[in-house]
Amino acid sequence: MARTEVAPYFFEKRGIREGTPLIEGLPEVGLVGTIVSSYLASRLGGDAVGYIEITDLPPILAVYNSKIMEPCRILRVDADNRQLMVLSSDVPIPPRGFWPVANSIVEIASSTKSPVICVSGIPEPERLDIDRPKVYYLSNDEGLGEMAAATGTAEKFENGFLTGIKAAILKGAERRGVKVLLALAQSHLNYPDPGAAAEVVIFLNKLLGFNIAVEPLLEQAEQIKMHLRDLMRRTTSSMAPVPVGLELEPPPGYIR
Amino acid sequence: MYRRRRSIFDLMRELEEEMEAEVESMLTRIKELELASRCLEPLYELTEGPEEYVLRVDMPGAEKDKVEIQASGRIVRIYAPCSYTVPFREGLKTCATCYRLEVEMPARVSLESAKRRFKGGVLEIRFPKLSREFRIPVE
Repeated sequence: MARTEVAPYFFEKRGIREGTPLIEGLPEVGLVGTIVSSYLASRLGGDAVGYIEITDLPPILAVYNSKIMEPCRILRVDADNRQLMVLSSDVPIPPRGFWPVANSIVEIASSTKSPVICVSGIPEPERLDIDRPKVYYLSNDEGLGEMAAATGTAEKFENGFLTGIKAAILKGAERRGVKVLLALAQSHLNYPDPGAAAEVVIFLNKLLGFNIAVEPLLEQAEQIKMHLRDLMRRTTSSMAPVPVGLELEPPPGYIR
Repeated sequence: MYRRRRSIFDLMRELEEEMEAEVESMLTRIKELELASRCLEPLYELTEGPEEYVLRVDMPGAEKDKVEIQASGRIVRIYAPCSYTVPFREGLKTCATCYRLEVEMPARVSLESAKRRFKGGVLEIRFPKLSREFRIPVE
């Protein structure tokens, strides 16, 4: 798979303000991205403005209230005089699709001069003993990193590995000069983790100036976990070739 | 007659597709079983430490006091009624009201020495390894 290949996409740019942040919440570790993106869309409302075609999958469409939807879609959210774009997917992206989908995301963000905020989980083996998971941030842009630090709700990601779609987005963003911010919450690896998602929402509230209550998310945690069980199983199977275990290892670094 | 040689990339792609078909078939089997038994197969993870096996099973909605665990040789069976009724799909009236899981452990385990806890809908069982370890002096 060519690393520069771009997955076919449709994106209605009209009405999108320049610099509107694009939240990437694709299914990965603990389905943190899925829960966050779906919660933002349900709390703030949103209209579909585009989709990305996952070329490595057979034709799939989702149906919600008799409405036919693309599984990997972009919503435009207008709330509190602010605008957001939210990318979510009802199906996991197969590893072969990481590069093309990541390149499409970067191309879309580039067309509106938007920063990409990737929200996801970072596997934490002792998650069961952690009541409030930490959120780690990392950015390829100093200003964005400072904004994340100023929220006071996240710690800087210092050493480690990044894998999967977020790594592909960061690499693609470097080539096109797109700003990227990662927000990664300590999370269960193989179970949906609404608690980790709630911490990411708190971080996004501070970063973007929203005031989205997280209590309903925590109150519905059990139902959310049950609802997302099948997607989690599918995501875990799909991610089998991805070296997620690397995210538990320190990088070898330099020998001094 | 020449037969076109396939490249290594074609072979890898074929292998990937075979694996994906296998996974898809496994996921379908799980779903069929859930539909037939009206019991959900919970998500779980099994890890191995130097002195124990840790089995974590995600059972949101299960009641702590009603979880049943059986261990026989290498097989661990878990059953728990669920406080929610989960419809499988619109139009499909069958609902699930319980969790059922059977896990094959890497070695024989015993419940007598196992530690259990249930937190945030996750059941954790720590099985100490039963096999004895010998220290061999190295000269």
